[in-house]
This record gives sequence, C-alpha cells and structure tokens, in this order.
Amino acid sequence: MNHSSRLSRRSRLRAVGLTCSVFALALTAGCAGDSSGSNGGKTVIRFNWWGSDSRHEMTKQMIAVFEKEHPNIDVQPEYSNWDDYWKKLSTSAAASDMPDVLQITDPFMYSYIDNGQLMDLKKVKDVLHTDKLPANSMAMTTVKGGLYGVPAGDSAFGIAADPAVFKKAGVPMPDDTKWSWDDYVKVSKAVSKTKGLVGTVMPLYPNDLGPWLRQHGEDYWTEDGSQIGFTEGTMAGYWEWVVKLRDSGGTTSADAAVEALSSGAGVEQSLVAQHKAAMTDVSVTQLGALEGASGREAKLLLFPGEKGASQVGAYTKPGIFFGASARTEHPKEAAELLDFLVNSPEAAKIQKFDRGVPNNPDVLKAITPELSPAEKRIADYLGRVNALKPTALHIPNAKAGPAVPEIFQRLNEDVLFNRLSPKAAAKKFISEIKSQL
Amino acid sequence: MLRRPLSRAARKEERTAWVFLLPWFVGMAGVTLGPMIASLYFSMTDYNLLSSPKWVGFENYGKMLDDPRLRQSLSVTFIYVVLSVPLLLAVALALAMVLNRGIKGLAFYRSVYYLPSLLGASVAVGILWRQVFGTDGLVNKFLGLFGVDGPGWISNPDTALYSLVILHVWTFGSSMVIFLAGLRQIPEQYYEAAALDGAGRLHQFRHVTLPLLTPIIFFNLVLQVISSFQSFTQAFVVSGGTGGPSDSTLFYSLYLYDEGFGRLHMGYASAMAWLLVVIVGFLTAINFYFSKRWVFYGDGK
Repeated sequence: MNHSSRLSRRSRLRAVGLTCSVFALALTAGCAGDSSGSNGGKTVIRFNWWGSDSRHEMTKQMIAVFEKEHPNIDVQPEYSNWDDYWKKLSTSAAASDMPDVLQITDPFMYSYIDNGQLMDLKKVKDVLHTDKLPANSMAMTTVKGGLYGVPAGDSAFGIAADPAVFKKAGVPMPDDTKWSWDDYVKVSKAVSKTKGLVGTVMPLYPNDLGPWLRQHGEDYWTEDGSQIGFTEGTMAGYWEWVVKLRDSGGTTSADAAVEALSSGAGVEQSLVAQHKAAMTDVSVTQLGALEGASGREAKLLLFPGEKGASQVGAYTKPGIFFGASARTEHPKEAAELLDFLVNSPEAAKIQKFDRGVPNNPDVLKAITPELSPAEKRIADYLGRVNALKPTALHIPNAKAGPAVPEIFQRLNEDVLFNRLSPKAAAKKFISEIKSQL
Repeated sequence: MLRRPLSRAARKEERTAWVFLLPWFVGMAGVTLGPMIASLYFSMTDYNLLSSPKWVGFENYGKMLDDPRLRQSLSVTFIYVVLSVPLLLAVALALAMVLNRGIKGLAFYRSVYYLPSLLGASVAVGILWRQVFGTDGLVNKFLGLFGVDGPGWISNPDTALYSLVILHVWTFGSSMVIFLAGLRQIPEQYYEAAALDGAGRLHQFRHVTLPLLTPIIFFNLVLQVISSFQSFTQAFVVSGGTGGPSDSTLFYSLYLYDEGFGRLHMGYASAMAWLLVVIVGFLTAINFYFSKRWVFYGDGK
C-alpha cells in the first residue's frame, strides 16, 4: 500500500513535470520568436516589402551588398505579395511588432502616418541624406512638417500597346497626343473584329480614373485632402464611358476580367502578354515584366483625352516609398538602410526600375548606361508626361483615402454587371467615401 | 453539496485528472476566453489597431443597424446556410445508406468520400474551384460540347454564391461518416420485423431508419449550421479576398475580417463578431427547441 502510493505520487509528479516542461517550451519558443535585437555583436533590423518573386531576389541581393558595406548590421528580410501586405502590417502594428524598415505606398501609408506609427525621418537626417531627392518627390510623405518616407522611384500609369496585334488586326496605332476617350472605344472595337483578338483589357483598377478626373479639372481630393475633390457628374461620366466600352465589344467580358483580377493574375498573365489583346492599362514600371512574358516589344501610350482637356490628366509620382517604424530600437541603423535604398548606385544597379525610376539624379545617371530597351522606353514615357507640365496629384485624406480603391472596385463591378446605373454608382461612391471621413 | 465523500484513492485520482486537464484549461482561458473578453471590450471602442482604443459605448452596435454591406453579408450568409445545409445532409445520408449496404471495399470508399471534408475549406481546393468553374473551366468545357456558352460561374454575381454552395455540399464526408455510424446502430431485427409485416424499402426507410436516425440528423444539423455560418476560406480564395464580384460572396466572416484588418475598424469588427455569436446561439437554441418535436431518442426521453 505504502509502496504503491509512493509510486502514484511519483507518476503524479511526472505529470506535473511534463505539463511544466510543455509550458516552458512554449515560453522559450515565444522568446526565440523575437528576432529584433543583437545577434553575435551585430545589430539586427527587420525589413519588410511586398512584390513579385523577381523583386524578392533582387532585394535580397541588395541586402547582401548593404551588409557587406555595414558589417555591424544584420538585415532580416520579410516579404510577401501585395494581397495581404497591409492586413499583416496592421496586425504587427497592433502587436507593437512592426519591422524596423518598411516599404509603403499611398493611400494606405496615411493611416500609419496619421496614427504615429512611422518615424519622422528628419530626426535621422545626419545618416539619411535627402538633399539629392527632389522636393516634389517627397511632398507626398511630408505631413505636418515631418518626413515619413523617402521615394523609391517615380512611376506613372499609362497604356501598354502591342504594335504586332494592331498590325494583325489591320488597325493603325492611335496617336496618343490627339486621341479622345471615344477614339479609345472605337479603336478597341475595330481590333476586336479580328477573331481571337480583343482591343483592350477591361479596366478594373482605378488607374485611368485619376487622369479622367484631372482632365475635368478635378481630383480625388481637394488640395488639403479634407474633402472629396470630384463631382458626381464627372464620376457618372466615367462609368458611362466604362459601359460604352463594355457594350462596344471592344474588351474582354466582365466575367473574364473579374476572374483574372480575383485570381491575382499579374501583368505577366494579361491578355496582352498572351498576344490576345492590343492594349492594357499598366503601371509603366511593369513594362519589362510584360515584355518578358510576351516576348515582344510593347509601346507606352498616354491615356486618351489630353488634347483640349482643362487640365493635364497624366501625372508622375513615386509609386513606392520606404519608411521606418516609430518604435524601432535602432533608428540609426534603419536610417543607414534607408539611405542605401534610395541613394546607393550599387542598390540601383541591382533593381534598376523595379520600384520606379530613381528620384536621385546621380543614381539615375549611374545606371543609365546599363538600362535595357524597355527601361529606356519607361524613362522616355515619364519624360513625355513631365513635358506636359502636370500638376501634382492631391494628397489623399488620411482616414478615407485607404478605402477608396476597394469602394471603387466594388461599385465598378456593380456597373459592369448592370446592378447599378452609372449615376447611381457615382452617387453611392461619394456617399460611401463621405461615411469614411 | 449532496456529494458522497470520496475515498482517499478516489480523491487522489481526481487531483491527477485535474492536473492532466490543466493544459486544456490554460488553452481555453488563453486562446479562447481571453480574446473573447478582449473582443467584447474592443466592440465598445473605436479601435483602428494603430493607436490605442477609445471608449464609445454601444456606438458600434448602433452603426450596424445602418450598414447596407452588413445586411448584404447577412443575406449572402443566410442564403448559403439555407441552401447548402439541407442539400449537404441529404447527399451525406444518401451516400451513407449506399455504403451501409455492406459493399466490398467499404473502407476505401469511406476514405475517398471523406477526403473532400478535409480539403474543402483549404486554399488549394478554393483555387481548384476557380479552375473548375472559371470562364475556361471544366464546367464550361463540358457545356461547350452541347453548344452552350456558359458564364464565368464564380466571376458572375448571379452565380458565384451557388458555385460556393456546391463546393460546400461536396464536403459532405464528415456528416456521412457520422450517419454511417448511426445506421450501424440500428438493430437488424427492426428491418426483419418490418419486412415480415410487408413493408417495402421505402416504408422501411420512412418508418424505421429515419426515426431512429433523428438524433444523428439533429447532431449533424446543429454542427453544419454553426460551421456554415463561419465559412470564410472558400469565399476568400475564390473571390481573391474581396467577397466579390459585387459583394455576391461577401460572407459575414469575410466582411468582418475586411472591416477589422482591411479598413482598420477593429471596434466595429469586434461588435460584428458578437452579433455572430448571438445569431449562431439563437439558431442553435431554436434548433434545440424544435428538436423536441421531431427528434426521437430510443430511451423514451
């Protein structure tokens, strides 16, 4: 009896011990998960970005160069695709666990600036040199006197057109200095008459909406970003044009377009890359990826409607910025990485135009001899846009701005599937944005 | 406490049991209860994840009354539950009865039919579904043989939800296995007696199988209603995270996720989570209430 009770006590003790060791394991795992700090005398900083596989590879190469120049810093890469970047980032911000250095963009970055999640980079101006960066490229990240991001490179939206498809359809390439939005529909319709070809890919992202609003003398936002900057009539006009394009048969069906979008297909899988469509709207820095997939040369065209517009619609702006967490324990090291990303010719030689055309003119000059033909055409296109002397796009509202692309996309589908008239959609667009203000 | 005093040995055993249960309690408190209490607090705040929450009382709950997208997500979810749960149970029961005939290789078929339940909510199957029901997918290729030009089933707002219903019905396996176990419990004598009385197969099903199976049907019904209400992955993957096209697959949990992590309205999303708890709890209570009328427990309760 005595013996057996000792045994059972032992087994009980063992059970308790087992339980404790499980918890201990969980605890150490928790500690090991915290990678920010020091590692073998090196300062560890985390760097987060989104992008394609090729960008991941190039950025890792850039990090290797940076670590060679700064042997005391160990950069831990964290990367993903675009889809859930911001949802992941908001979660890590809520857990006070944001990476030290991050890739950001408008309009989403304004929530982070507004809530004090990003560091004012003026505090580290001894390390992060901004004197070579043009002031207008930093206007978008200058909020209330603080600087919250440095530009990774200029970009613009435009139309990528495949001359070979135009030739096959027997339709002359449009002259983008003169064409109107109606011409765009007509040209698309003409190309679609050839079996197996469509004129253009149905636009589902608001890439062409910015130019449309600006040509009407409006903008997404008022100059100070406090109010909506466009009218219901102009917006309804845009969607009337979308309906006209859809009904002309000059584009892919709404079904097929939505499907391509929801499957996350990039420009490499677009119909232009497959030689089935003549035109698609693009962020022009993707031209290289498009040509890589299609295997032939594409031309960049300005959006229609510039001739006779009350204001230049096209614009260039940095598409990507780099910022730092306001909570970083290593502001100096973070600033060194930021400085490398925007000011180092070595970094630019690896990534070229992947994040846009470098804003630092010295860096651009250093890589110019190494540019590919596609990259030269991107630079030419940006030059053409800048020659029109466009005004800057107004800065979005910090609260409502981030919701605009999602609201647009949903209402645009309502219009495409005949669930809302262009007028009703325009009205709803404005009221939904207002409810977010 | 009217409890018989336990012997020393029994008390020791009880203590041991508690020690073994401890990890579960810790998990329950830390992983389920803690976040639930936190979300109740957040539901009464204005919280954007990026700065600390501000107390607003019941404002978030008030906002829900005047949110057309919330109404849309509720209607999408209800249609989904009302269509897919009965269909799924019928398919599961039918196949369980076929398999119960004692065919050769039962274990093999059981595993094959069970497989979709394990995979149905996975990302891979969501992607597969896009291939099957896409504009150039299997279904349209098949329809093409008959000269029918099908729409993009998952990218057209009129049909997108129904393709997700089919996906859900396809995951009938777990219900089927439970039905199969239930069918095995029905004593063979009942069928023999019924056959002697001249009851055909249909009568046997209607008057023997169905009544004796009601507790199992009820169990499956409750489980399926609860899990269907929380469906997320299928719509998330198939619509690319938007609940589109045109909000036609905006499941409640998908909208909740988007409000919380996409639009950074975590306070509102928490309030939505509590509404979901109330709705699912209410439906389960209704289920139990009406179960008295049709669920037959053999022991006469």
